[in-house]
Amino acid sequence: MNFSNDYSSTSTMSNKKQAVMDQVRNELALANAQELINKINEKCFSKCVTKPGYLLDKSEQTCLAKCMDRYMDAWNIVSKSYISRIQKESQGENL
Amino acid sequence: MSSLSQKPNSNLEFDEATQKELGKFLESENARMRIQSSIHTFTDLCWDKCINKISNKIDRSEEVCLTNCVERFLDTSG
Repeated sequence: MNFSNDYSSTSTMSNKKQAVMDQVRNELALANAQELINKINEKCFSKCVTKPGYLLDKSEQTCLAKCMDRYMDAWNIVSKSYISRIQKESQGENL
Repeated sequence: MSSLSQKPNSNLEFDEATQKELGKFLESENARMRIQSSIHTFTDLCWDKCINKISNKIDRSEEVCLTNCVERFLDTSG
């Protein structure tokens, strides 16, 4: 990803506009993914590693992998509920 | 390609319509980001309340709990 090169080599404004938009989208997606990974790490560590030993044993690793999947499931369920609530409330305002 | 000889910053300027469009774009991305940030907060909170054991699937009662958790939190915060 080298956007500064894009700027100097693309001559039309539309290309530059697109590059700015793509960069903003990429950075926000990255920030979102980082936040999710941090939360997963924190939540799943406390669920799966109750007594830290000399290394992560097999059952802790299995738990961490499953926990990550479940956290993302939970994220999606929360997302769906929240968005449908926002939509309901904005419809209410329009009535 | 005269722009190649220019400094990267000197051809960064946008006309008024493009500036407006970019402003709108940033506004909507900002709103999307705020919603996502709320989803992170709710998931954090409701995970602790609703998920006890890690299994192969989120079961029905956990799913209901998560949905209720979001709804009740929003009732609380108005």
